[in-house]
Amino acid sequence: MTVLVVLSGVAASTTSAEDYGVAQTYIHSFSNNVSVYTGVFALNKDVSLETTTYFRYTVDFVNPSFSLFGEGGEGGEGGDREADSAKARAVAAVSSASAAAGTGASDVRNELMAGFTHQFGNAFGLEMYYDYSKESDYTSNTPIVTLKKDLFEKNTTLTLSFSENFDQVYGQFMSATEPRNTSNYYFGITQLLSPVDFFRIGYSGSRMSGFTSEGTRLVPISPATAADCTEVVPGSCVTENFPDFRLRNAYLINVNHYFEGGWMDRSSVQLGYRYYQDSWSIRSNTEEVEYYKYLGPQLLLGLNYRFYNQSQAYFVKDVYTASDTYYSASPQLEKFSSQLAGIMLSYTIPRMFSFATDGAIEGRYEYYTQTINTTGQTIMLGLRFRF
Amino acid sequence: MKIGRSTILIIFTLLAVGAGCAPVKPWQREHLADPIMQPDYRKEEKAVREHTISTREGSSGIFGVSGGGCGCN
Repeated sequence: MTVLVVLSGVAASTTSAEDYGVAQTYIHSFSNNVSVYTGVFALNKDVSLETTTYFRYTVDFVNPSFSLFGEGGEGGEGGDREADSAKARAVAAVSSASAAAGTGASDVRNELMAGFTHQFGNAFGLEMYYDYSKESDYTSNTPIVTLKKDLFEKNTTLTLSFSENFDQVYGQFMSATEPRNTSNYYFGITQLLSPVDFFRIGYSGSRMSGFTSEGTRLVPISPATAADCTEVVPGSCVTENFPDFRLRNAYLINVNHYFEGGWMDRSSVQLGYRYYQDSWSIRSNTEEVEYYKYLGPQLLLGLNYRFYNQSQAYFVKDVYTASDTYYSASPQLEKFSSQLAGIMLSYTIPRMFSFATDGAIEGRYEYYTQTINTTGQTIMLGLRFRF
Repeated sequence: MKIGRSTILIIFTLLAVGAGCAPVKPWQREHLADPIMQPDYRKEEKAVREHTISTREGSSGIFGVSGGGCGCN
Protein backbone atom coordinates (compact mmCIF):
# COMPACT_ATOMS: atom_id res chain seq x y z
CA MET A 1 0.00 0.00 0.00
CA THR A 2 1.51 3.24 -1.10
CA VAL A 3 1.91 6.13 1.31
CA LEU A 4 1.91 9.59 -0.19
CA VAL A 5 3.34 12.82 1.22
CA VAL A 6 3.76 16.15 -0.44
CA LEU A 7 7.33 17.34 -0.31
CA SER A 8 7.10 20.96 -1.35
CA GLY A 9 7.69 24.17 0.51
CA VAL A 10 5.91 27.45 0.07
CA ALA A 11 6.85 29.70 -2.82
CA ALA A 12 10.45 30.71 -2.84
CA SER A 13 12.17 28.38 -0.42
CA THR A 14 13.14 24.84 -1.20
CA THR A 15 14.72 24.37 2.22
CA SER A 16 12.88 24.22 5.49
CA ALA A 17 12.47 27.53 7.28
CA GLU A 18 14.11 26.15 10.40
CA ASP A 19 16.46 23.51 11.68
CA TYR A 20 14.60 21.15 13.92
CA GLY A 21 14.34 17.70 15.37
CA VAL A 22 11.33 15.75 16.57
CA ALA A 23 10.77 12.65 18.65
CA GLN A 24 7.18 11.45 18.74
CA THR A 25 5.18 8.52 20.03
CA TYR A 26 1.78 7.58 18.64
CA ILE A 27 -0.84 5.17 19.87
CA HIS A 28 -3.40 4.20 17.23
CA SER A 29 -6.32 2.09 18.35
CA PHE A 30 -9.05 0.87 16.02
CA SER A 31 -12.38 -0.76 16.69
CA ASN A 32 -11.43 -3.84 14.66
CA ASN A 33 -9.03 -4.94 17.39
CA VAL A 34 -5.96 -3.43 15.80
CA SER A 35 -3.59 -1.20 17.73
CA VAL A 36 -0.38 0.29 16.44
CA TYR A 37 2.32 1.94 18.46
CA THR A 38 4.46 4.26 16.37
CA GLY A 39 7.72 5.98 17.12
CA VAL A 40 9.12 8.75 14.93
CA PHE A 41 12.46 10.50 15.06
CA ALA A 42 13.30 13.16 12.49
CA LEU A 43 16.05 15.69 11.96
CA ASN A 44 16.10 18.63 9.54
CA LYS A 45 19.37 20.54 9.35
CA ASP A 46 20.98 23.12 7.10
CA VAL A 47 24.54 22.14 6.26
CA SER A 48 25.17 25.22 4.14
CA LEU A 49 23.27 28.23 2.80
CA GLU A 50 22.14 26.15 -0.16
CA THR A 51 21.80 22.66 1.28
CA THR A 52 19.52 21.09 3.85
CA THR A 53 19.56 17.47 4.95
CA TYR A 54 16.64 15.48 6.32
CA PHE A 55 16.45 12.17 8.11
CA ARG A 56 13.43 10.34 9.52
CA TYR A 57 13.10 6.98 11.23
CA THR A 58 9.68 5.44 11.87
CA VAL A 59 8.85 2.22 13.65
CA ASP A 60 5.38 0.66 13.93
CA PHE A 61 4.62 -2.03 16.50
CA VAL A 62 1.38 -3.81 15.73
CA ASN A 63 -0.08 -5.26 18.89
CA PRO A 64 -3.55 -6.68 18.35
CA SER A 65 -3.84 -7.97 21.90
CA PHE A 66 -4.55 -4.43 23.15
CA SER A 67 -7.40 -2.14 22.22
CA LEU A 68 -8.90 0.99 23.71
CA PHE A 69 -12.26 -0.48 22.75
CA GLY A 70 -12.11 -3.49 25.02
CA GLU A 71 -10.64 -6.96 24.93
CA GLY A 72 -8.20 -7.64 22.19
CA GLY A 73 -8.83 -10.56 19.94
CA GLU A 74 -6.66 -12.61 17.72
CA GLY A 75 -5.78 -9.50 15.85
CA GLY A 76 -6.56 -8.14 12.45
CA GLU A 77 -10.17 -7.38 11.67
CA GLY A 78 -12.98 -9.03 13.52
CA GLY A 79 -15.14 -7.75 16.29
CA ASP A 80 -18.60 -6.82 15.15
CA ARG A 81 -18.46 -8.45 11.75
CA GLU A 82 -21.04 -11.12 12.49
CA ALA A 83 -23.64 -9.37 10.38
CA ASP A 84 -21.24 -9.59 7.46
CA SER A 85 -20.68 -13.33 7.72
CA ALA A 86 -22.55 -13.90 4.48
CA LYS A 87 -20.30 -11.45 2.69
CA ALA A 88 -16.93 -12.04 1.19
CA ARG A 89 -15.06 -10.47 4.04
CA ALA A 90 -13.97 -13.62 5.84
CA VAL A 91 -11.81 -11.59 8.11
CA ALA A 92 -12.75 -13.08 11.46
CA ALA A 93 -11.93 -16.55 10.22
CA VAL A 94 -8.66 -15.33 8.78
CA SER A 95 -7.65 -13.75 12.04
CA SER A 96 -8.32 -16.95 13.95
CA ALA A 97 -6.48 -19.05 11.43
CA SER A 98 -3.46 -16.82 11.38
CA ALA A 99 -3.30 -16.78 15.14
CA ALA A 100 -3.66 -20.55 15.35
CA ALA A 101 -0.89 -20.98 12.81
CA GLY A 102 1.40 -18.96 15.02
CA THR A 103 1.84 -16.18 12.51
CA GLY A 104 -0.57 -13.90 14.34
CA ALA A 105 -1.28 -10.37 13.27
CA SER A 106 1.57 -8.82 15.25
CA ASP A 107 4.23 -7.15 13.21
CA VAL A 108 6.99 -4.59 13.31
CA ARG A 109 7.55 -2.13 10.49
CA ASN A 110 10.72 -0.12 10.18
CA GLU A 111 11.07 2.83 7.83
CA LEU A 112 14.09 4.97 7.06
CA MET A 113 13.94 8.11 4.97
CA ALA A 114 16.91 10.32 4.18
CA GLY A 115 17.72 12.98 1.67
CA PHE A 116 18.69 16.53 0.94
CA THR A 117 17.59 19.69 -0.81
CA HIS A 118 19.98 21.95 -2.67
CA GLN A 119 19.41 25.33 -4.24
CA PHE A 120 21.43 26.03 -7.37
CA GLY A 121 21.52 29.80 -7.08
CA ASN A 122 18.47 31.32 -8.76
CA ALA A 123 18.28 28.56 -11.35
CA PHE A 124 16.36 25.78 -9.62
CA GLY A 125 16.15 23.69 -6.49
CA LEU A 126 16.75 19.96 -6.29
CA GLU A 127 15.41 17.52 -3.71
CA MET A 128 16.49 13.91 -3.52
CA TYR A 129 15.28 11.38 -1.00
CA TYR A 130 15.34 7.65 -0.49
CA ASP A 131 12.80 5.76 1.54
CA TYR A 132 13.16 2.17 2.76
CA SER A 133 10.41 0.31 4.58
CA LYS A 134 10.28 -3.28 5.78
CA GLU A 135 7.84 -5.44 7.69
CA SER A 136 7.26 -9.17 7.82
CA ASP A 137 5.18 -9.31 4.64
CA TYR A 138 6.20 -6.21 2.73
CA THR A 139 9.40 -4.50 1.63
CA SER A 140 9.54 -1.19 -0.17
CA ASN A 141 12.32 0.86 -1.74
CA THR A 142 11.48 4.31 -3.07
CA PRO A 143 13.80 6.92 -4.59
CA ILE A 144 12.27 10.39 -4.95
CA VAL A 145 13.46 13.32 -7.06
CA THR A 146 11.93 16.81 -7.06
CA LEU A 147 12.80 19.89 -9.08
CA LYS A 148 11.61 23.38 -8.20
CA LYS A 149 11.78 26.58 -10.16
CA ASP A 150 10.95 30.03 -8.83
CA LEU A 151 9.46 32.63 -11.15
CA PHE A 152 8.26 36.23 -11.02
CA GLU A 153 10.44 37.43 -8.14
CA LYS A 154 9.81 34.11 -6.39
CA ASN A 155 6.09 34.71 -6.25
CA THR A 156 5.49 31.55 -8.25
CA THR A 157 7.05 28.15 -7.76
CA LEU A 158 6.81 25.25 -10.16
CA THR A 159 7.32 21.80 -8.70
CA LEU A 160 7.94 18.61 -10.64
CA SER A 161 8.45 15.32 -8.82
CA PHE A 162 8.97 11.68 -9.65
CA SER A 163 9.24 8.62 -7.46
CA GLU A 164 9.32 4.89 -8.06
CA ASN A 165 8.16 2.28 -5.54
CA PHE A 166 10.02 -1.02 -5.85
CA ASP A 167 7.94 -3.23 -3.57
CA GLN A 168 8.01 -6.90 -2.64
CA VAL A 169 4.84 -8.49 -1.26
CA TYR A 170 4.80 -11.82 0.62
CA GLY A 171 1.55 -12.08 2.54
CA GLN A 172 0.77 -15.05 4.72
CA PHE A 173 -1.39 -16.76 2.07
CA MET A 174 1.13 -16.37 -0.72
CA SER A 175 3.35 -19.20 -1.84
CA ALA A 176 6.04 -16.91 -3.23
CA THR A 177 7.22 -13.29 -3.09
CA GLU A 178 5.64 -11.10 -5.74
CA PRO A 179 6.85 -7.73 -7.04
CA ARG A 180 4.84 -4.54 -7.26
CA ASN A 181 6.16 -1.44 -8.97
CA THR A 182 4.55 1.98 -8.85
CA SER A 183 5.61 5.06 -10.78
CA ASN A 184 4.42 8.35 -9.29
CA TYR A 185 4.40 11.78 -10.89
CA TYR A 186 3.53 15.17 -9.45
CA PHE A 187 3.29 18.63 -10.92
CA GLY A 188 2.32 21.64 -8.85
CA ILE A 189 2.17 25.42 -8.89
CA THR A 190 2.42 27.51 -5.74
CA GLN A 191 1.42 31.14 -6.09
CA LEU A 192 1.67 33.98 -3.60
CA LEU A 193 -1.41 36.15 -3.70
CA SER A 194 -0.66 38.68 -0.96
CA PRO A 195 1.53 39.04 2.11
CA VAL A 196 -0.93 36.76 3.90
CA ASP A 197 -2.25 34.41 1.20
CA PHE A 198 -1.03 31.78 -1.17
CA PHE A 199 -2.57 28.91 -3.05
CA ARG A 200 -1.34 25.72 -4.59
CA ILE A 201 -2.70 23.47 -7.29
CA GLY A 202 -1.31 20.10 -8.15
CA TYR A 203 -1.75 16.97 -10.18
CA SER A 204 -0.49 13.56 -9.21
CA GLY A 205 -0.47 10.50 -11.43
CA SER A 206 0.44 6.96 -10.51
CA ARG A 207 0.93 3.76 -12.45
CA MET A 208 0.96 0.53 -10.46
CA SER A 209 1.76 -2.87 -11.91
CA GLY A 210 2.44 -6.31 -10.55
CA PHE A 211 0.90 -7.95 -7.50
CA THR A 212 -1.60 -5.34 -6.36
CA SER A 213 -3.33 -7.18 -3.50
CA GLU A 214 -1.83 -7.96 -0.10
CA GLY A 215 -1.92 -11.76 0.17
CA THR A 216 -3.36 -11.52 3.68
CA ARG A 217 -7.08 -12.14 3.13
CA LEU A 218 -9.19 -15.08 2.00
CA VAL A 219 -12.41 -14.83 -0.02
CA PRO A 220 -15.18 -17.45 0.06
CA ILE A 221 -16.55 -18.65 -3.27
CA SER A 222 -20.26 -19.33 -3.21
CA PRO A 223 -21.76 -21.53 -1.77
CA ALA A 224 -18.99 -21.30 0.83
CA THR A 225 -19.40 -18.53 3.41
CA ALA A 226 -16.99 -16.43 5.39
CA ALA A 227 -17.34 -18.73 8.38
CA ASP A 228 -16.14 -21.64 6.23
CA CYS A 229 -13.08 -19.79 4.97
CA THR A 230 -10.29 -20.63 7.39
CA GLU A 231 -7.64 -21.79 4.95
CA VAL A 232 -6.96 -21.86 1.24
CA VAL A 233 -9.18 -24.41 -0.52
CA PRO A 234 -9.04 -24.15 -4.33
CA GLY A 235 -12.43 -23.25 -5.72
CA SER A 236 -13.93 -22.67 -2.28
CA CYS A 237 -11.74 -20.34 -0.30
CA VAL A 238 -9.21 -18.36 -2.30
CA THR A 239 -6.79 -15.54 -1.75
CA GLU A 240 -7.69 -12.06 -2.94
CA ASN A 241 -7.01 -11.38 -6.59
CA PHE A 242 -6.94 -7.82 -7.92
CA PRO A 243 -6.21 -6.55 -11.43
CA ASP A 244 -2.46 -6.44 -12.00
CA PHE A 245 -2.55 -2.88 -13.24
CA ARG A 246 -3.87 0.34 -11.71
CA LEU A 247 -3.77 3.91 -12.98
CA ARG A 248 -4.48 6.67 -10.48
CA ASN A 249 -4.99 10.42 -10.81
CA ALA A 250 -5.40 13.02 -8.10
CA TYR A 251 -5.99 16.76 -8.34
CA LEU A 252 -5.61 19.10 -5.43
CA ILE A 253 -5.99 22.71 -4.51
CA ASN A 254 -4.87 24.33 -1.28
CA VAL A 255 -5.34 27.83 0.04
CA ASN A 256 -3.46 29.19 3.06
CA HIS A 257 -4.35 32.42 4.82
CA TYR A 258 -2.75 34.24 7.74
CA PHE A 259 -4.94 36.34 10.02
CA GLU A 260 -3.80 39.67 11.40
CA GLY A 261 -5.61 41.63 14.05
CA GLY A 262 -8.75 40.90 15.99
CA TRP A 263 -9.34 37.75 17.97
CA MET A 264 -7.84 35.64 15.18
CA ASP A 265 -4.58 37.55 15.21
CA ARG A 266 -1.50 35.35 14.68
CA SER A 267 -3.43 32.40 13.34
CA SER A 268 -3.65 30.62 10.03
CA VAL A 269 -6.10 28.46 8.17
CA GLN A 270 -5.21 25.89 5.53
CA LEU A 271 -8.00 24.65 3.26
CA GLY A 272 -7.52 21.70 0.96
CA TYR A 273 -9.56 19.76 -1.58
CA ARG A 274 -8.52 16.69 -3.51
CA TYR A 275 -10.33 14.76 -6.21
CA TYR A 276 -9.15 11.24 -6.98
CA GLN A 277 -10.06 8.71 -9.60
CA ASP A 278 -8.48 5.47 -10.78
CA SER A 279 -8.83 2.64 -13.26
CA TRP A 280 -10.57 0.45 -10.68
CA SER A 281 -13.50 2.91 -10.80
CA ILE A 282 -12.82 4.35 -7.37
CA ARG A 283 -13.71 8.02 -7.14
CA SER A 284 -13.07 10.00 -4.00
CA ASN A 285 -13.29 13.49 -2.58
CA THR A 286 -11.25 14.79 0.32
CA GLU A 287 -11.89 18.06 2.08
CA GLU A 288 -9.52 19.20 4.81
CA VAL A 289 -9.13 22.21 7.03
CA GLU A 290 -6.35 22.99 9.48
CA TYR A 291 -6.30 25.94 11.84
CA TYR A 292 -3.33 27.05 13.93
CA LYS A 293 -3.28 29.84 16.47
CA TYR A 294 -0.66 31.17 18.83
CA LEU A 295 -2.37 31.45 22.20
CA GLY A 296 0.66 33.16 23.64
CA PRO A 297 4.40 33.38 23.10
CA GLN A 298 4.81 29.76 24.12
CA LEU A 299 1.52 28.03 23.37
CA LEU A 300 0.29 26.91 19.94
CA LEU A 301 -3.14 25.41 19.28
CA GLY A 302 -3.93 23.33 16.21
CA LEU A 303 -7.31 22.06 15.02
CA ASN A 304 -7.89 19.83 12.02
CA TYR A 305 -10.86 18.25 10.30
CA ARG A 306 -11.05 15.95 7.30
CA PHE A 307 -14.05 14.58 5.39
CA TYR A 308 -13.60 11.80 2.85
CA ASN A 309 -15.92 9.77 0.65
CA GLN A 310 -15.26 7.19 -2.02
CA SER A 311 -17.05 4.87 -4.41
CA GLN A 312 -16.19 1.19 -4.56
CA ALA A 313 -13.95 -0.68 -6.94
CA TYR A 314 -15.79 -2.21 -9.87
CA PHE A 315 -14.91 -5.79 -8.93
CA VAL A 316 -16.11 -5.57 -5.31
CA LYS A 317 -19.07 -7.83 -4.56
CA ASP A 318 -20.87 -9.19 -1.53
CA VAL A 319 -20.75 -12.74 -2.89
CA TYR A 320 -18.28 -14.22 -5.37
CA THR A 321 -18.76 -17.19 -7.67
CA ALA A 322 -16.38 -19.38 -9.60
CA SER A 323 -17.00 -17.34 -12.73
CA ASP A 324 -15.51 -14.18 -11.21
CA THR A 325 -11.99 -13.18 -12.12
CA TYR A 326 -11.18 -10.81 -9.29
CA TYR A 327 -11.87 -11.33 -5.60
CA SER A 328 -11.75 -8.81 -2.78
CA ALA A 329 -12.25 -8.94 0.96
CA SER A 330 -10.71 -5.50 1.51
CA PRO A 331 -12.94 -2.95 3.23
CA GLN A 332 -10.85 -0.10 1.83
CA LEU A 333 -12.14 -0.84 -1.69
CA GLU A 334 -15.80 -0.53 -0.70
CA LYS A 335 -18.06 2.50 -0.86
CA PHE A 336 -17.90 4.54 2.35
CA SER A 337 -17.21 7.92 3.86
CA SER A 338 -15.04 8.90 6.78
CA GLN A 339 -14.37 11.80 9.08
CA LEU A 340 -11.35 12.76 11.12
CA ALA A 341 -11.08 15.48 13.72
CA GLY A 342 -8.14 16.42 15.85
CA ILE A 343 -6.64 18.86 18.29
CA MET A 344 -3.00 19.67 18.95
CA LEU A 345 -1.23 21.69 21.64
CA SER A 346 2.42 22.66 21.63
CA TYR A 347 4.18 24.35 24.55
CA THR A 348 7.56 25.90 23.92
CA ILE A 349 10.20 25.96 26.60
CA PRO A 350 13.17 28.26 25.93
CA ARG A 351 16.55 26.54 26.23
CA MET A 352 14.85 23.27 27.03
CA PHE A 353 17.94 21.47 25.82
CA SER A 354 21.48 22.74 25.96
CA PHE A 355 22.02 21.96 22.28
CA ALA A 356 18.82 23.65 21.09
CA THR A 357 17.51 27.19 20.84
CA ASP A 358 14.27 26.04 22.34
CA GLY A 359 12.17 22.96 22.71
CA ALA A 360 8.48 22.18 22.72
CA ILE A 361 6.32 19.56 24.35
CA GLU A 362 3.51 18.53 22.02
CA GLY A 363 0.38 16.48 22.19
CA ARG A 364 -2.25 15.58 19.65
CA TYR A 365 -5.54 13.66 19.72
CA GLU A 366 -7.45 12.55 16.66
CA TYR A 367 -10.70 10.64 16.22
CA TYR A 368 -11.42 8.78 13.01
CA THR A 369 -14.65 7.14 11.93
CA GLN A 370 -15.83 5.32 8.83
CA THR A 371 -19.38 4.52 7.77
CA ILE A 372 -18.37 0.85 7.39
CA ASN A 373 -18.23 0.41 11.15
CA THR A 374 -14.63 1.25 11.84
CA THR A 375 -13.53 3.91 14.27
CA GLY A 376 -10.11 4.81 15.56
CA GLN A 377 -8.32 7.06 17.96
CA THR A 378 -4.80 8.40 17.87
CA ILE A 379 -2.82 9.95 20.67
CA MET A 380 0.56 11.56 20.02
CA LEU A 381 3.07 12.83 22.52
CA GLY A 382 6.31 14.33 21.39
CA LEU A 383 9.22 16.66 21.74
CA ARG A 384 10.28 19.21 19.14
CA PHE A 385 13.49 21.15 19.36
CA ARG A 386 14.87 23.94 17.21
CA PHE A 387 18.49 24.82 16.76
CA MET B 1 1.01 10.43 -18.40
CA LYS B 2 -0.82 12.38 -21.08
CA ILE B 3 -1.26 16.10 -20.64
CA GLY B 4 -4.11 17.46 -22.71
CA ARG B 5 -4.10 20.80 -24.46
CA SER B 6 -6.71 22.11 -22.03
CA THR B 7 -4.42 21.25 -19.13
CA ILE B 8 -1.51 23.06 -20.74
CA LEU B 9 -3.76 26.06 -21.40
CA ILE B 10 -4.82 26.13 -17.77
CA ILE B 11 -1.22 25.98 -16.60
CA PHE B 12 -0.11 28.86 -18.82
CA THR B 13 -3.15 30.88 -17.84
CA LEU B 14 -2.28 30.44 -14.20
CA LEU B 15 1.31 31.43 -14.86
CA ALA B 16 0.11 34.52 -16.69
CA VAL B 17 -2.19 35.34 -13.80
CA GLY B 18 0.69 34.84 -11.45
CA ALA B 19 2.85 37.22 -13.41
CA GLY B 20 0.08 39.79 -13.36
CA CYS B 21 -0.58 39.53 -9.63
CA ALA B 22 0.88 42.27 -7.50
CA PRO B 23 4.17 40.72 -6.51
CA VAL B 24 4.85 40.13 -2.86
CA LYS B 25 8.21 41.63 -2.00
CA PRO B 26 10.67 39.71 0.17
CA TRP B 27 10.22 42.11 3.07
CA GLN B 28 6.47 41.47 2.96
CA ARG B 29 6.79 37.71 3.51
CA GLU B 30 7.13 37.64 7.25
CA HIS B 31 3.77 35.95 7.79
CA LEU B 32 4.16 33.66 4.78
CA ALA B 33 7.37 32.37 6.31
CA ASP B 34 5.69 31.61 9.63
CA PRO B 35 5.82 27.85 10.27
CA ILE B 36 2.04 27.73 10.68
CA MET B 37 1.71 28.81 7.05
CA GLN B 38 4.02 26.15 5.62
CA PRO B 39 2.34 23.36 3.59
CA ASP B 40 4.81 20.88 5.05
CA TYR B 41 4.46 22.15 8.62
CA ARG B 42 4.43 19.17 10.93
CA LYS B 43 5.04 16.89 7.97
CA GLU B 44 6.04 14.03 10.24
CA GLU B 45 2.55 13.98 11.74
CA LYS B 46 0.97 14.28 8.33
CA ALA B 47 3.07 11.39 7.06
CA VAL B 48 1.98 9.17 9.94
CA ARG B 49 -1.65 10.16 9.48
CA GLU B 50 -1.58 9.62 5.72
CA HIS B 51 0.08 6.24 6.14
CA THR B 52 -2.49 5.09 8.70
CA ILE B 53 -5.41 6.36 6.65
CA SER B 54 -4.12 5.03 3.35
CA THR B 55 -4.28 1.47 4.70
CA ARG B 56 -7.99 1.99 5.32
CA GLU B 57 -9.02 4.00 2.27
CA GLY B 58 -8.93 3.11 -1.38
CA SER B 59 -7.35 6.27 -2.74
CA SER B 60 -3.83 7.43 -2.30
CA GLY B 61 -2.89 10.93 -1.34
CA ILE B 62 -0.50 12.98 -3.36
CA PHE B 63 2.91 11.78 -4.18
CA GLY B 64 4.96 8.98 -3.18
CA VAL B 65 7.08 7.57 -0.51
CA SER B 66 7.35 4.00 0.60
CA GLY B 67 4.79 1.30 0.49
CA GLY B 68 3.97 -1.19 3.15
CA GLY B 69 1.15 -1.33 5.62
CA CYS B 70 1.20 -1.33 9.36
CA GLY B 71 -0.03 -4.87 9.80
CA CYS B 72 -3.46 -3.35 9.95
CA ASN B 73 -5.15 -5.79 7.62
